[in-house]
Amino acid sequence: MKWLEMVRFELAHQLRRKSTWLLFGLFLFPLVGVTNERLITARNGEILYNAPLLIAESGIFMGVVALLIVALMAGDAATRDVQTRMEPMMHAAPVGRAAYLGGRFAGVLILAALLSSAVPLTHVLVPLLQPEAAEGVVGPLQTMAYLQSYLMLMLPNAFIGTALLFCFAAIVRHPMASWVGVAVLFLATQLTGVYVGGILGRWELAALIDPLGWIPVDLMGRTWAPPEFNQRLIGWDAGLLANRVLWITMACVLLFLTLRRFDFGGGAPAIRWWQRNRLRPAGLGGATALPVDGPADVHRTPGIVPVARRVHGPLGRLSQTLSVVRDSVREIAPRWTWLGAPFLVLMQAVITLEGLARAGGGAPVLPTTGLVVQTLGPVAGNAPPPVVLVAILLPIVLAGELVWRERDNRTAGLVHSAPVPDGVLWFGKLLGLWLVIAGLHLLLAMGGMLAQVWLGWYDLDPMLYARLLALRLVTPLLFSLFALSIHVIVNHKVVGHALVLALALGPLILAESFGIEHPMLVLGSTPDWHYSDISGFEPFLGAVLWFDLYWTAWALLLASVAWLFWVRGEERGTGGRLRLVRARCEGARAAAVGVSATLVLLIGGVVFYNTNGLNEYRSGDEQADAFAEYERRYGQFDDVPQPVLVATELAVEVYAGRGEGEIRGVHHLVNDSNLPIDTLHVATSLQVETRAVELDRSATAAVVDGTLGHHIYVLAEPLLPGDSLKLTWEVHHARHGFPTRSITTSIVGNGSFFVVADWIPLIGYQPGRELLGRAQRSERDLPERRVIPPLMDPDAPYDRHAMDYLDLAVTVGTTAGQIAVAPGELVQSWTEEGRSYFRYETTAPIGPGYAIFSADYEVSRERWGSVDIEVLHDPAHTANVPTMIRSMKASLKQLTERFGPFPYEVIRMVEYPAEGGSLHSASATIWYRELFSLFDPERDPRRIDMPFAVVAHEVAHQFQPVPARMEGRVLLSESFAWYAAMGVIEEEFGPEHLGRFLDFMRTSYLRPRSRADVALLRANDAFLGYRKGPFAMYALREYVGEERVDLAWRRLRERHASHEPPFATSLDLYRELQEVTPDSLRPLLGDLLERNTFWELSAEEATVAATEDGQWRVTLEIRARKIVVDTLGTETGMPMDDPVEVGVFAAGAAGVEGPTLYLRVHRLQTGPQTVTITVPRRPARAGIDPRHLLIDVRPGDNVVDILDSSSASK
Amino acid sequence: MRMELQIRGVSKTYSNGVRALDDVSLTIAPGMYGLLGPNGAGKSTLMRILATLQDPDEGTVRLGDIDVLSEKERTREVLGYLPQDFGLYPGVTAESLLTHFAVLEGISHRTDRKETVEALLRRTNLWDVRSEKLGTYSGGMKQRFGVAVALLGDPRLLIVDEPTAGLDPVERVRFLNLLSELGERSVVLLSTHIVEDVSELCSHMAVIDRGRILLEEEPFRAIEQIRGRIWRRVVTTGELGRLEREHKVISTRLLAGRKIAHVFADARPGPAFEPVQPDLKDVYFSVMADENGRSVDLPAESQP
Repeated sequence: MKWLEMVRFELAHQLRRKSTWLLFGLFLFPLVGVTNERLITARNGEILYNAPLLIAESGIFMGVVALLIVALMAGDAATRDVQTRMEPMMHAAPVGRAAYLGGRFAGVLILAALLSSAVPLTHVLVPLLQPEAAEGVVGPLQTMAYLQSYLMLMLPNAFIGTALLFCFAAIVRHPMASWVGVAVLFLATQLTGVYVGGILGRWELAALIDPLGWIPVDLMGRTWAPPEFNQRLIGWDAGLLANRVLWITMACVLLFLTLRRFDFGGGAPAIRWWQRNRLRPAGLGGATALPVDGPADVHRTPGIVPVARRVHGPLGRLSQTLSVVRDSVREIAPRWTWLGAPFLVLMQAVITLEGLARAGGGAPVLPTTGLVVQTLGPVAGNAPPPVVLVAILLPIVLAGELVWRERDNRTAGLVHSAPVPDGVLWFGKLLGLWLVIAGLHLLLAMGGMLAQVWLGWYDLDPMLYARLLALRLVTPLLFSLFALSIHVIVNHKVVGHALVLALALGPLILAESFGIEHPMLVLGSTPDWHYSDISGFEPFLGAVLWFDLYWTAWALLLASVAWLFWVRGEERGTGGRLRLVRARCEGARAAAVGVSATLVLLIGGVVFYNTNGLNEYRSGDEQADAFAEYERRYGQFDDVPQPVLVATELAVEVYAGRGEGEIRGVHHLVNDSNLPIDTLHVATSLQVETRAVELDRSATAAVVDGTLGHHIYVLAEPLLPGDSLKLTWEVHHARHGFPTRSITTSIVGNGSFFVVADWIPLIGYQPGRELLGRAQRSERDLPERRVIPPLMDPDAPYDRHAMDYLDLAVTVGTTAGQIAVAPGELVQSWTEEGRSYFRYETTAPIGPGYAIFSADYEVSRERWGSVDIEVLHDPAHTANVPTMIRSMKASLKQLTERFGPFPYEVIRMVEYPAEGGSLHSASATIWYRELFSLFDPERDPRRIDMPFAVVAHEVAHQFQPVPARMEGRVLLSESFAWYAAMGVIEEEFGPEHLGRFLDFMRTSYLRPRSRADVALLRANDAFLGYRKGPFAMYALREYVGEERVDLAWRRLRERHASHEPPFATSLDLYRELQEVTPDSLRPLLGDLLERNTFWELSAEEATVAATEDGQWRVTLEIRARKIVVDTLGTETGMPMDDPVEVGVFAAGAAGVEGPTLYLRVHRLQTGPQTVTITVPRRPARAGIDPRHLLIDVRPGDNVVDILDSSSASK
Repeated sequence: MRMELQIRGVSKTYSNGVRALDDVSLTIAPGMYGLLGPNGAGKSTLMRILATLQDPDEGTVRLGDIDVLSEKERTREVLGYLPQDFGLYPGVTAESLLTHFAVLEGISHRTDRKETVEALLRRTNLWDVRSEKLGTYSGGMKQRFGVAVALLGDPRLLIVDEPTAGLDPVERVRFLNLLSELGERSVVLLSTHIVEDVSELCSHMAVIDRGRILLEEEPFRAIEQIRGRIWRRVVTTGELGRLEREHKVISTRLLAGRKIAHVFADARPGPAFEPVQPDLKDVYFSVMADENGRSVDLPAESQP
């Protein structure tokens, strides 16, 4: 009964508070926003909006968002009596511990459950309210899906979360500690996924110990076949149930311990638990040691109060401010917290190490300062969301504590009656908060430096740290100013926290779903930027600083308003406060509001002039509208025969300092069709200003559409088959101020780079500009469109959009001292009018996707046969250049032997400034992002040389046939490139190194994923292209022989050497491969390419016995099965009669197979079977398919230790 | 510089309709001034208004040439305020917090500040425990620390709101002694509901109830005014009702288990009554008894 009374009281208390309802209301914004977003996503995808798995996922996500609000209530419930000093009274009441805390907890839990139930309700309601948007993407209502999501995920999470938050607050005796609980939950889930799953590969364990149940649900999503999503329920999944039971138990244990631990003494509520042991004896001693009676002393002392000089004016204000700063720092970072500083430094060092590992995709990279700063904790742009969340919560919590410091401690009467101006208190608190945040970042920087030194990198570059951190600090500093101001103005702690939280997270999760895109409207948003060793802060710095200034002006305005509303004294009511505000609205305070408002307008005007005046601003929808209009208007001309581009001459000017570029060019076009052509369609770029387009024969411009980028010229005389045409044009690129998003990096002071096709006029209608999203298309009444043509599309191999190979002659002028690069041989370079000029000419036709570079390059050269090898790189980025050259040379040498001649006289690798380390291979030129130059293979624990392998892969692209734009394309490009590179790697480093490299590539199999997929011939994604395809090729190489497989590829390349349609398809490849494959292996070839086949091979047991003649007979029990999985996930067992390798190995070092004693192909059937092998030496291990040639998602059980039965039987 | 605190026609009504102050006017000269009234009489509201923490709806408050209501900054320069209910940062030492407040008071010179802080800590007998965290202080120590804060900067106007509530007798004596010395140069306004505080300390006093000033007088003269008109007798519980109907009973108190009623009357009300040497309590109770609806006026001509 007492317990029920506590529950009832708690519920009534919370529901009576306005803030509770406000918080509930606040929750609706993200809830509706996110739910709506999911509806939009569903319309663009294949999976229904109310697929049970998606319901579960959004349940977990919104449940966690709800926890942020529950945290405020839980913190309050757990510490209310401490805060209101009713504690002794409550504790004196004859209420048991369980009733006291349990009642409170249950009250909050009920509210949390209520709040959670809004999630499924909203999910059901949102599509009902917009039937048009919901059409076709909402399946029939599955009550069970909602029920399971609620009962298995949301309710347990509410329980686990509330317990954690409640206990944190109760133990620390501070309501805000419960937000720490939310952060802990977030981090636990995140880290479990990253480390236990991603790094250790123990996904089952990860699914068990993830407190939010996110990972088990995520795993379902990865392993289900796509069609399952719409119907299949998450069910009462055993793994998920185990997870839930585990965590509910943990939560109960935590609750129990808290109950025991909770201090019911209530004697000294002001002392926190960590101080208790240290202070109590001293305090008591001090009190009793006092002289009991002092008045006699007092009477003897002459003079009542010492008279001290007061310092007025700025100096006095300054020392007051500093004292407030000190006091504020003492509040938010008491001395003991600095004990945590070394821990923080260490933690950041670990995060940095992990971040560096992630940057290189598992391959170690050199820890340069530019790179390390990216990983610096909360401020980093690419920090994981939980870290960002902590970074946002921290200033909110601290700001709230500071604003409420006097009132929470009831010192307001003393402080507010002191002769301190409001401004001093306000500014002092702000400075204190800033100091702590800056100090925190300093510690993080030290962590980064520690990581660098740990990795043996001593070029710490503190100045660069300072500059990067200064830029990154702006956001948290401004944000803390916003938070402080809001707390002052709102003058309600809980509501203040919630509002600030909403303002902080709103932009992250809401802006887009409510159609707010302009960054001037999204609090604190600045253009994305990154630092480059090559181009520095260019071209972002100006824009970023202007946006920072803009938000600073807003922050100042808010701060000035807060100065007006500054709470001093006892006027609590709105009326009283407003009267106070009116009285204060004069002098400095009014001026501050006026000046900052003017600043907002002025700076906002400048920013707006840049984003919307100098640049055209288009929302995402307007952008999409334009593309739709382009398709509607000019799509009809897609099939109109157009002349083909055979040669281009360019005169390029790069004005590095001004961010301007200019190209004057001539296209040589030929009518290679057998019909006369009477109109010419020219697609102009939207990224540049196209100034002139002229034909060398008389024509009228029927359409000149600069907005959508399409010109139509009607030729006076048709272009007859075989005739040619010259198109002369001029484009101009300039950066005018700065746009709202994606600031163009084409031309910068150092490190200019652009793909020419993005700028120049192209021939014909461009289907590449068409919208792809299903919803985007249907909203604009466009017909459905496939993302990529299917394998059987007879027209696709003839599609020659952006496929024309051409001869190119380029003259590039650039700033003196820089080297400009274009495709082809450098035939001349000279200086003219203080600018450097370079003339390049190709010796063989190149593909249309070529680029132009200009930077202060260092050139490293080498020669292989008649081919010049060049690496153009930043002078500081030299570490991998020798490896790159070695790899290019080795690749050219081997690949020309295997696949035919390299058509160009020069091959270049060119570095350019951009985030990441990816590479791109165009004809004769491979360009790479700067991170690639920082790869550090020496430290690679996997003992593979990634830079060498990747360069070999890119060089191999030079030897691929031109693939048609359709399904199977990645098999011809990426799978080929890896297959070809394998040979280069093997020749350079030996088969063991290749084996280790294959092991690394195989890790993507070990990640849980659905086996439902298309056959390789229809491959269209990275996994099939970069991983499964190469493995199929590797298997063929081992079964059929490298020479024969190479022959197939060589023939395919030769057949398509003309670069003319029809382009190569995976079916063409299949035919070539069939040609070279003996009949006996044809079924295997089919299994690898034509069907999505999986083998389930395992060695059950192996025994050995010594024979009479001193040999060893191994008896191997194996099990084999073969299945074909279709795209729906249906598994069909196939009768197996396949050649599979069986191997026996001698003892080797730990973790490595010993010398091979036996390795031969056996023909194996479905089911268990026994293989007997006699080997000359004592064997240690034996197994089936030990080299993992066949696609088997469990390669770990293929080989087993051999049991010695001979000794047992004797 | 002698300053006089003039309160003229101050009224304050809270948003919930409670009229905390109703046309209060007082003139307070330097010296100890006691503001006596029951809980909820409006004392703290008046104190907070004087301490610049609240604004009245009407009225003016002047301290010497300072308009307290509009010149808050100037007022705070000369103000010392000890709130009725205050806390201290538990994790901070007394010396460190007092130093902080000293800076806030404008005592920025290091040596001055050190001297001031040391002198105040010594005077409030906290010098030996200056390095202890405030969270470990007893109620009396906290109260004395509050006085030290209030005394910073040698205030011309010291406002002390119910300072003795909750102190043990020894602490209370010590505390009152400390206050008694301050009246020499400053206006010291002491609000309390404990009559002894006023009778022991104050040269002037006012009685306030329900937001109105019922009496403004020197304690000594107030006692004189009722001298010879306070009578007492032992009563049983049964008799009390009749006694109250027939006489103006201002208080009943217990003495050694018997109930003794004090009655206000110009002449001996009956044979069972004996005369009492009146004290300030009798003054206070008689004023409060009037306020509570009794129709007996204190005759003006009875002043000596």
